Amino acid sequence: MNRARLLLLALPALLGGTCRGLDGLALGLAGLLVLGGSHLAGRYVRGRLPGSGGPAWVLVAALTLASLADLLLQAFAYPLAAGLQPWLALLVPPAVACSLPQDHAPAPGIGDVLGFALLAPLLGLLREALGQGTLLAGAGWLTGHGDAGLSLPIAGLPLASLAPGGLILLGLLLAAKTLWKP
Amino acid sequence: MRRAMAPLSLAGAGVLLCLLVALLLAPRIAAQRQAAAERALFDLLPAELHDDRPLDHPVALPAGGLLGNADAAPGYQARRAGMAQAVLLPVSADGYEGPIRLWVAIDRDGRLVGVKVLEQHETPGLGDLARHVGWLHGLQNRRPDSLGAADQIAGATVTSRAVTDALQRALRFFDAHRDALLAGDTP
Repeated sequence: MNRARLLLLALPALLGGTCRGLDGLALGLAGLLVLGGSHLAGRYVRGRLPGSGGPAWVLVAALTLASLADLLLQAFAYPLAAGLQPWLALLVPPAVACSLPQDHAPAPGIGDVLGFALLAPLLGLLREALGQGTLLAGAGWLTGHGDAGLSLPIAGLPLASLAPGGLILLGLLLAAKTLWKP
Repeated sequence: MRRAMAPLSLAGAGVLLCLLVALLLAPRIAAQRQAAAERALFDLLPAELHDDRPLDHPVALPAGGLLGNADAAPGYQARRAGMAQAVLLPVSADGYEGPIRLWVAIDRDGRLVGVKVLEQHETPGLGDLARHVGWLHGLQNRRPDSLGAADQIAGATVTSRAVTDALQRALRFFDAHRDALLAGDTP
């Protein structure tokens, strides 16, 4: 159930920050840093800090990592940082909640964090392809060839670019994964 | 007391780390911000028309006159191999709800190669120029005489006329001062 808890808490960031493939990629990398770092911080303090010390330590670690992710994004991928501004901070609640064991259930593992880091770019690419009919648009700052990206021979369905469309696609992805699993 | 100190010192360490990284990255972030602003301003220029930064070649323009700008905003030259290939000019028009400020690119032959809206207050859903990018693009590659016959946005006659009129004025301004603009002198 912990994977579900992580997904539920990370849902605002996941739906808000994956309108385009590049945004999803950046969100996935930021998630790797924030969620993964908090997970490691939580594992480090487990058993070392008794009482309320653990959550405070993980909270500080998650906030610091989210700020660092934002600064790094601004320094190396400024056009992405502007679009991801509110969503990076929203990675903190899932990072804190999922780095500590709750109700006698173990905290989500590093595999679940990797899952998030893969899911965000996948969802971003899918939403961009279906919503705008392009792939990796907005990469002009990276390649120097303009922002158009690869255009696909499909007319975009604007719903996929919006948050409700993202939720529908996410549901379909999860359903496909459940079906595919032996 | 000791139990309260530990989280506090942790928080202090986190803030210090963030401040240190912010200080280290500040010049890089400022440069990136500047580059992003430049790209946003000059993305209406076709890439083949320039190979350097238009911001390095400003052309001082007078306020008022054909361009109708309230204050003396500069234009810019887009150069390729050291030769001016196009000029970027700010133009103002009176829209339905307030001033419309446009940013146009005109190439050496006096053709309109790019239009971009810098400011507008038109009615959302009707004349809102942010929703009529396709219409604006349809006005490109035209000469002044064919601009008057361009299609209008349905339900937004005043806005359409204001924009096509502003583009015509910009093209006439270019034709009148072509040599000065391409040489980089103030017309």
